[in-house]
Amino acid sequence: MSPRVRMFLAVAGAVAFSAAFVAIVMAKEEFTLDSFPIHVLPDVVAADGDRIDGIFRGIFWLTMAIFVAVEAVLLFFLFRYARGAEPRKAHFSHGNNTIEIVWTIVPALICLVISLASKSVWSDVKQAKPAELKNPFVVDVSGRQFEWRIRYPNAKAVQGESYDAIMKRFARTDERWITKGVDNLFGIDEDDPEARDDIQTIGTLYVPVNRPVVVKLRSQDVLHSFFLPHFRVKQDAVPGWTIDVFFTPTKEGEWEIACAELCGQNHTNMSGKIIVLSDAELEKRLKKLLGE
Amino acid sequence: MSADSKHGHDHGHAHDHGHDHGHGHGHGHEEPSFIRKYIFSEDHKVIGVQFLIVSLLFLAVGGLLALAVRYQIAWPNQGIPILNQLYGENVVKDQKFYNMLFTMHATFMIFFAIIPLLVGFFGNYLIPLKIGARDMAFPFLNMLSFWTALPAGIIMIAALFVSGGDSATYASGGGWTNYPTLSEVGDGIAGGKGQTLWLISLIVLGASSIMGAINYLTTIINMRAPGMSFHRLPLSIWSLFITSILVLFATPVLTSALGMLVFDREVGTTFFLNGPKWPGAEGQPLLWQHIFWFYSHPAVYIMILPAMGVVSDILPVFARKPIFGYKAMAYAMAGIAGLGFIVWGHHMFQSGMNPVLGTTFMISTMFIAVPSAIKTFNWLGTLWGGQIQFTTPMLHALSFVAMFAIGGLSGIYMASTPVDIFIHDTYFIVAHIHYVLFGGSLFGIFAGITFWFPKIFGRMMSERFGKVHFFLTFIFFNLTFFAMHVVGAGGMMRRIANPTHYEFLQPLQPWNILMTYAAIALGLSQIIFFANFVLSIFMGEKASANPWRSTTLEWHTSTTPPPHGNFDKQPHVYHGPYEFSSPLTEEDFLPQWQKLGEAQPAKAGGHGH
Repeated sequence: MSPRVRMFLAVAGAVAFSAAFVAIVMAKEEFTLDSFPIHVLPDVVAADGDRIDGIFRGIFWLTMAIFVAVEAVLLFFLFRYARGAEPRKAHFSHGNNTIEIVWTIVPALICLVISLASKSVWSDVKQAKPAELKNPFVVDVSGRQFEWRIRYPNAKAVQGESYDAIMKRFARTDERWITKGVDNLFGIDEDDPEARDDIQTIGTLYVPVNRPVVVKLRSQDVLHSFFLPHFRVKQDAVPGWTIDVFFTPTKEGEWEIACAELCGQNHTNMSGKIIVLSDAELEKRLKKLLGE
Repeated sequence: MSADSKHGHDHGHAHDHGHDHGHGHGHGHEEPSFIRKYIFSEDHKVIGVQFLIVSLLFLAVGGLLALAVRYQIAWPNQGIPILNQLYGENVVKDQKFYNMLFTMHATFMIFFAIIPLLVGFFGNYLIPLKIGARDMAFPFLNMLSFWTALPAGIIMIAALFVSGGDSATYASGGGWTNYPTLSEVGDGIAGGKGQTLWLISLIVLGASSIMGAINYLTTIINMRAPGMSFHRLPLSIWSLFITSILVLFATPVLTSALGMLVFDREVGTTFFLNGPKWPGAEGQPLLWQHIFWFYSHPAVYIMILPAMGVVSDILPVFARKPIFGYKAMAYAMAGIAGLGFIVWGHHMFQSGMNPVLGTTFMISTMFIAVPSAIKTFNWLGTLWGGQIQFTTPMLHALSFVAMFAIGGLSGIYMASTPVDIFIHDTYFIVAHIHYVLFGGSLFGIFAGITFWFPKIFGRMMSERFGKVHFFLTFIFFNLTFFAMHVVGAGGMMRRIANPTHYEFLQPLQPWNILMTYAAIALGLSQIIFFANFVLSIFMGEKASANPWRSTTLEWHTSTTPPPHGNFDKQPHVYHGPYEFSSPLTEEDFLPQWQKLGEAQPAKAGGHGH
């Protein structure tokens, strides 16, 4: 058998063997081809999510093209230059400086383009200035083993208030006053007049649709990561720091909050809900929470 | 059985012969006792083989832990076979136990399998042989380096059985990155004493790495054979040279972080503590991440550069062609290492680090793709116009090139800061690291072991079993890890014990189950390798001095396996390391030791028959 035929059989055999293995697993677990989704990126329901996905897709097609080209050239060389029955000397070459320069500069340029495209999205998403946002909705979120604690400054969801004005509606807190129970999740100073209308809950975050949301993210114990897969939001919560997280929901509905940074025994279960509502619905919901 | 004993006898005889030879050339001392020869040996080759065998055992332990991890992900909270009996079902079902499993899997694989195989084994075995030296510059320090690494491993193994006072807490459970403040919590959430043992073990191991690195650098700089200029060094030696620089500069930094964490845990300092749980503490949790990644990113290159070097040595031998772009290859490795020190922040894009810094680290990270691309293209260039032989080492080396391309390309996704927002800490990064460390490093290690086995043990490994092992490993590796890209793009977080807890992850569960089946098959396939390895030591076909018809000095030793002292007389080097198919000679290879115009001194096959 010539080495080329053998190579072909090896590749074909590997593909057939893999397919047979997958078929056996599918038969055993009663899977169908539909059990294996390929278009897996979760639906996007936030304003900058599409831009992030755009870069993802751009890199995907670019890396796919390079991947296919590299593997195809590799396989072609293996077929083309497999040692035959009568070995000859190989082509004697130590390389070529021109081609080295070409394949140094081209990848460098590609990387530069990806960097520049990424930079603008990154700055818009992570470096927003909250004071400049129009009609912001501000909410205080704190990670704690193993729950997401949420605080609203009051039961209002009206538009037109500035970020600075909203921030004054939050009552003073001191983390030393955080109790273990549910009474004082954030360590609110009960003597502060603003404390009367602060709303504290666990696990479910209500936000308005089509308005920029500012999450004041903190942690009360270990690192957590506030992950909203459908909003393309992820930010670690760091004890001792308050980090601003920005996103603008574009669709009403209910989605999941996950913790993406290992935080201990029940890390897996540190999930929550994010519910996007119209301003009017949101205000109704917040008033109900305040009443409770 | 009779065949066994016959071969066993031959093997013993070969050793005696080797030593006679050494004595014949006035190598100096009396026949050392068994203990001095095989246990507390100062021979770099014995130390290399000690690293090889111990690391392969750790590789097996790490692999078994990986299977336990996969089992839990596919069938969450049902307990795990074997471990149920070992620890008790209630303990295993606790998610804390799962945290321990993946933490210790990564710890054993990174610190006790991949790094010691690449640096401890290849470094020790190859450096003196390939540069034409009798041994390392500091043989005693070399011995000490192994005998420091082994206790570190024993401490880490012991941690698996040290309970933190809480029934489900064994070893460390904070992830191999062990970020504070989780890794500081004293109540058993991240392991009790097991966590402290983890830190101490790595401090001890770091000392071993530093000893090794000093030795390698000194040896390569000072002990090269006459004619062995830096630009005639085999690329494996270039890679180990650069790796040693990384080890020397990065490891002490990690040691400082480990030390501070030990102090935080055991003495009551607050270097990394902050927040209401620790009133009055003014430390910085992110400080750990900066210091840890300042070591651990270069460590990623410590785990890939030697494999690149090994593959760069093997491809020319079986393509019968000089490496394409030798200098570009050497400088690209130096470029990777240099950039490796200014990219650590890409692990911290979502950590709360200033996003402006994120952009800086993104750009430096992107440019690591450039030397990586240069290397890949040069490997392809080496194959172009070759006379390719598909031996087992070559198959592993080729799949290194094919798989490293995937691991390299998937890195670009994480390097892009906005894309990283979504895929950070998902299975996408798990896929990436495994394509680099298994698809890359481990295939490189398999290539190296099968390539140098004849020199190390004087016998050939079975090609047939070698190929079967390669074939199965290649297939099941891809079936296991490729789908991780898919579930990662679906948003599945790493380090979660039960993906089905999340609605948005439930449709991905069949992928997880398929991966687990493939992982089990991948694990079983390794039995073939271990069997081939062990049986070939005793029963393999006798190897000739230069079975692959290679050009570098390790194939020029006075006997096979080489005696203590390696060469019967000082070798001289006349050529670059990869002069295959040179028009200057009849043969299709021109060894480094062969002076042109001078007949090759008759070197019999086998060892001096």
